Amino acid sequence: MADDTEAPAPLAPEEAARLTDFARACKAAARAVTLYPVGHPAITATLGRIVQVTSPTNLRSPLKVSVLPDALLLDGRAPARPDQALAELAVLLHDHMVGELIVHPGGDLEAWHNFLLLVGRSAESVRGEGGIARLWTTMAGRHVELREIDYAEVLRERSGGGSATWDTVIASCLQGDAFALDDEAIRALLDIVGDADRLGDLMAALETRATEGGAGVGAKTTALLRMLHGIVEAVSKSEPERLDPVLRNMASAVGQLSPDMMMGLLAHGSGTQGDTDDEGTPRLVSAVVSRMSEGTIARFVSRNVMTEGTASNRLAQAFQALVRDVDQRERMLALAHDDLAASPLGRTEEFRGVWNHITEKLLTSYSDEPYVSDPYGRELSHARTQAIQVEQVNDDPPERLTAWMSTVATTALRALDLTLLLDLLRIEPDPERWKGLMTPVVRLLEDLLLVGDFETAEELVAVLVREAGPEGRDTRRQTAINAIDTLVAGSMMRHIVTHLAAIDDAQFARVKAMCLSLGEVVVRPIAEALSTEANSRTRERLTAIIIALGAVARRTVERLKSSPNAAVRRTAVVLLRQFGGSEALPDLTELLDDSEPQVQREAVRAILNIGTDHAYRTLEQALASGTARSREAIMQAISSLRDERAVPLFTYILGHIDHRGALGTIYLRAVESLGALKDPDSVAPLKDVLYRGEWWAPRRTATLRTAAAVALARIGTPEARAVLEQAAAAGSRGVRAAVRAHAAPSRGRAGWEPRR
Amino acid sequence: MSSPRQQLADEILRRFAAALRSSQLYSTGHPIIARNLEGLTTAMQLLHAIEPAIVIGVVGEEIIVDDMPIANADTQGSLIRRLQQSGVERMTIERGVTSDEIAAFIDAMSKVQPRTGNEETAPFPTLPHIRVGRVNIEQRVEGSLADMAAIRRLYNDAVSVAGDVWTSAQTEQKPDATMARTMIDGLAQAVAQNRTALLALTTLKNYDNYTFTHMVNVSILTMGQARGLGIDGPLLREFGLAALMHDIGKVRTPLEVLNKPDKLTDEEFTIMKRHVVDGAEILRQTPDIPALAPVVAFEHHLRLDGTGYPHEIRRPSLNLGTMICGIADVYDAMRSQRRYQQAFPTERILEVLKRNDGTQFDQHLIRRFVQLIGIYPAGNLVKLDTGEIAVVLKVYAPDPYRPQVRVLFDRLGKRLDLAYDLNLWESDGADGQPSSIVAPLDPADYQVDPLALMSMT
Repeated sequence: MADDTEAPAPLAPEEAARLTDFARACKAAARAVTLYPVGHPAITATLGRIVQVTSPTNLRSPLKVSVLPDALLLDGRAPARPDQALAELAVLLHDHMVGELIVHPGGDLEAWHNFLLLVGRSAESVRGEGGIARLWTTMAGRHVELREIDYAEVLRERSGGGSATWDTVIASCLQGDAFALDDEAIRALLDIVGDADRLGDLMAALETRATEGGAGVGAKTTALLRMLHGIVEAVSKSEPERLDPVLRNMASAVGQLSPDMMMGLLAHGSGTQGDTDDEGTPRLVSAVVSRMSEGTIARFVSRNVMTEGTASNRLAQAFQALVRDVDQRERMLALAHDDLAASPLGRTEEFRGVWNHITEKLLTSYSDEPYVSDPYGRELSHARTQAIQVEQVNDDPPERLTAWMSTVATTALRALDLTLLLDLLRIEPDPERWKGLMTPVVRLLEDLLLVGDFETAEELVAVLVREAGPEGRDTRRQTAINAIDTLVAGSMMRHIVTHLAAIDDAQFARVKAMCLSLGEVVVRPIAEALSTEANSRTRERLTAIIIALGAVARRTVERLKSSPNAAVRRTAVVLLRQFGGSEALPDLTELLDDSEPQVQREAVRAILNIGTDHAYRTLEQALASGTARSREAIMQAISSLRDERAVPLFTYILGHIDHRGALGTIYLRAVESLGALKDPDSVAPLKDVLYRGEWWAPRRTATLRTAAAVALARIGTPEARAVLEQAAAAGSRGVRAAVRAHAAPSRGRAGWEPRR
Repeated sequence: MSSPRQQLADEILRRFAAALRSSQLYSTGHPIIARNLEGLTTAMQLLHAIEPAIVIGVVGEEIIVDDMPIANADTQGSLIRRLQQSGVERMTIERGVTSDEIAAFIDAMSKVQPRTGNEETAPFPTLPHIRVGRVNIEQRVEGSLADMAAIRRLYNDAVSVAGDVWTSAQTEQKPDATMARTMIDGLAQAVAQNRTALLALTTLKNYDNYTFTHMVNVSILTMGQARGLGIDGPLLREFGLAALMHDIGKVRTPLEVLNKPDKLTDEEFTIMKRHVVDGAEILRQTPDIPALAPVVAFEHHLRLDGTGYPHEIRRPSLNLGTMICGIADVYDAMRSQRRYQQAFPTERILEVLKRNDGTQFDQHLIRRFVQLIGIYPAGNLVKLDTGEIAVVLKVYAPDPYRPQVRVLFDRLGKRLDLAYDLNLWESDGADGQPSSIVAPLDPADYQVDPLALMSMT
């Protein structure tokens, strides 16, 4: 229809920007609410954008948008430069038969969400519930006003006011068993069928009205057939010579049907609807369809692609049913491509990709026909439709879906895996098969210890420990013991050590309990770990585990003293010292001869720690019988001791070892050490030293007496001072000489320090 | 590198392995993951005090830190494998790296699926202080899965691979996980792209080899259900692999029991029931099998109401994988035409799935399954509520009792000269129009071949 009015001027840039912004925001939000699950951040983000665009600040007055099939207009004018979003939103709204949209400022998130959810539904289902305007009214949406296109009204206008004729024809097709029209209506109909476009409009109006009335595809097709029959009958009676041109117009008009309707029509053409068709129906349908030109079929494809944005399965089926020849299909698709290329969709950047998808779908559906049997191919084609329908069925509440998914979440799977292993360990009756489970059990334990999941590890270890112990089955015992050995010999302790400093007391209690349950086998790895560990908290905790193991640990530690690794031997001594008691004395004594001075020193300390006469005697013997090197090491160890634990040893030395010969130096150091330690109990033995004299060895006697005098002076207690004063007053010449420098009393001084 | 540096590097690798493993074993947000990440971050800070950047690389079977091979391979074996699986050859962690970056990196590493050789590796996040050098793998190019012939080939290949997997489990005591995984990748892709075509294959096939076809069918049916629940990616493949292997324990079942055509004696049934334990043990001892697989193998005969076997096992609830695989298993086993066993119509199978007042299976999942498969799959001969006899042409998912049908006999039982199609879901039952199926029928009683009748259009 020619338009003789002058084209309106394009929108001002500011208005155009306002419309485009709105369209972009609206399209993005519509996509988000349709594609993403509730709560997805994309929904909030895109809805936020449209709320912002339509806020009272940005939208001072309502936005009145006219919706055309492929464009949006503001006050009847379009932007100078078309935007893809405008075209896409237009298609979406037009599909819902929205003719006009008035957007009021101030719609909030929820309001827009509701509106876009409605727009996102399939046009067919919305129409099935009475149309978008009706549904929107029932949803009490206020920020958007909708005007739905009344096609009947439009068509009436286009037909020049013959509204009664249109309504009568359509009503007759929909309701009557026969096509009963009066003469006036028949004349009007004959007028319409002379124009393919108007006939197409009439068919579209029939389909729309039938859909509104809730008719399914079958009923709609029947109504259409009734119309076609009526037209053919009327033309045959009044102007039979026009029949062929009318059939051609019909062929052109049916190109405007939906794919569903087309399929319905074609089914009647094939004669498979035998129960409802009279003999003439297949012939009529065949007559119409055979007159469909390539251009009509191409437009059928392009129009439906424009509406749906892609090629639906139904369109593919209809296209393939209409065109059997592969070459013909390609030719028609080329025509459809030209059609689409000129449309807004064709001007988008994605068009190329969309078109590839369309051609693939429309051309390949039957491409495998030579490879599969007919029933098989048909079944698969049907299955495709089913897949789409199944995707749409998702009515389980989100909490149920979440609950299902939580049963296979990573942590849940970990728990299931543990439960499985525990069950298998419990119910597997065959000893060989049970043995086969040890590899995964040990591997899982290593994993758990690596990551520090001690709670789970403890549970699994408990099973092994139980089976390895007296309560376990005889057939499993050795297997369990071997598995524990494998575990312990592996990286178990290294993994534990990694976490030991960081875990809290409760976690440590689990680690400790697990190690204690494993028993003696963990002692060596712990000792080895201790030998290299620098972190004091880790050392402390490892030691605590060993000590808690008690006698079993001691036995192993005792064996460790002969380890080739000096660090391990030293750790063994430390642990023996920690255990306390005198049982370790023989082992410690052996270590006094160790080749490593550090080990010797630790051994001396451990023996001192025992602190019994027997222990000191051991040391004395070591001093007496040891090599010069070991004696030196022992004395260095003793000399380095700076606490009261050493006092009894020094006292013991003064009382028991010979101050002459090889041990003289040691004797002298013992005297000096007692002074350094300032222990009041040392006064008596020092006094003995002070007064002991050997006329045949005056230098040694003088040295020892001087050392004793210095030591007493350093002790400085009244008792010590009294000894010095008495010696100064009444001692022998040698004694007096020894104390002279230290016994000069200075009454009234609070302290008394020796002169140096 | 001096000794303290080497110690720190060693410490970092240990922490790295622990952090990575914890991310694989526990769900996001678990405190164990946080603790391990903290340990790794601290260790890195210590080394960063000495070195501006830490470079960790894999050369062959060795792990290299700043050009120094690190000994002590106890945890590094799995770390090396992981890096290789991710295609990571080298990573550089620079001073200033944040705990968030480390967490993101570890998370990405933990999510990488083992490569089967030729697929593209998943991308790593771009992080300011962590650079990753990866091996580039060319993307696999395959024929379109919209091509039905391709799907059919895929299905047949899958059945063949299932046979190989079975054989490897029989001869080597371990199924070939790599082969199975590759096959599942293909099926998962098909399920995601054209699920129902694949599902149709499982229902149409006449079996020459029940065992392997059943493996593949249960895998497809399980993935079909999982996909319907929105499951995709690695988890979908785990479901598929678990379902494929659900009966693998039967490789240890004596053949005379496994293939016995008659009803099993109590003793034989006891032997047969052992396959769930055997399957779990075999799979638990097979490397690179996801944790779900042995669980499903063990539990797929357990039911929600506590019935089923192994008898000694009680579960307060069942996981999703076990439940949907259980449904698929019962369905496929009952509908399969075996030499000695009659195939059951779908409705009868669904009665089994719903028996005991629906306490054995999750009825919400059954409903979903029905929507997926249809109570009356295409090709079934059925009686309509007004007495007509028809063949099902097309399942209508929202209402499985109201599919598209082709009416063959009128309500008096007279064969129609011209059959006609009806969308039962569109009918409201007015005017005596049929609107629903009431019963399945045996085609032999009516001397018709429904499949042939379906193809008349």
